[in-house]
Amino acid sequence: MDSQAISEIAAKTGGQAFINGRIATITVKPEMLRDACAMVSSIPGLYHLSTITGIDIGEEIELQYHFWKEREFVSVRTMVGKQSPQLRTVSDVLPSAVLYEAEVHDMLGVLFQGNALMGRKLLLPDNYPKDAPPPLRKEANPEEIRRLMGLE
Amino acid sequence: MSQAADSFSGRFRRWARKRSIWVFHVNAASCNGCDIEILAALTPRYDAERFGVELVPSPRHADVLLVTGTVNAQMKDRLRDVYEQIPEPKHVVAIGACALGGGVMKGCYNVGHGIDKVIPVDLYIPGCPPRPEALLFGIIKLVTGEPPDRREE
Repeated sequence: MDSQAISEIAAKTGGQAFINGRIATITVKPEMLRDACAMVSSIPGLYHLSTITGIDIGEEIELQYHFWKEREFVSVRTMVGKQSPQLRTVSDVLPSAVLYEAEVHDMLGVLFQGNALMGRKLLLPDNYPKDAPPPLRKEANPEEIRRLMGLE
Repeated sequence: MSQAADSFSGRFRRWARKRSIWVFHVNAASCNGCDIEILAALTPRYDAERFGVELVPSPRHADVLLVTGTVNAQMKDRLRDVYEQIPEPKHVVAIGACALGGGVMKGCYNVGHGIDKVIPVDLYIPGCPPRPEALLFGIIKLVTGEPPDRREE
């Protein structure tokens, strides 16, 4: 693990780095996320964006961008407010992020500005109720959604 | 039993069908565990063809519909379409825990609880996944009315 490069990225983006063996996490503010991702992906060998994880943690939505290199993992972590979660896309620097961001948009309702797939369904059913919250939000009620889609 | 089924042509058709069970397989949001057991049942080791069981590529040629997996919201209408394409008389077999009642996916926002809420089911084969022997036993007993090991040659 190139811990010096990780600490440098954290210092440049005003975030915090946490390194444990071959797993590193960089926590940054949402507006610095794109820069942090671009810097992490410019570390030699660390160009593979594995996936984007979205978690509803109550007041905020936590996003983790997982980068992967042979036996080493770097995650860039950020929090966005739950009221109107908005973020600039990283798909212009990392083209593989388009689908991952569209999935987080489907499941948690985060809007990625600049992503080509915003405002349409990727994985959700065609008849997903318009008024219902995105399915992985804490306030979503699976039974209610099933009833509205005629599955019960 | 209706009049037509008891007539000579009805009995002849029933006799003929016992030796030629063509199945069509639909994966309705399955994890592929049950699908691989269906493939295993068709391999020479289990040799489903000795009972006339054959996998066909179109529902219009099929006698039996094998459905694996829990039916999700997107698959519901497609499964009904496939069911309606199968000519009468037809049988539906629900394979695996998910097809029976949702399985481990029960409670998810897009998952229906069992395919019998969508199409009528004649036979339920439990298991996660069921063994190929169980599949063959069920399919043949459903169509012929007797288990494969007790059939008269």
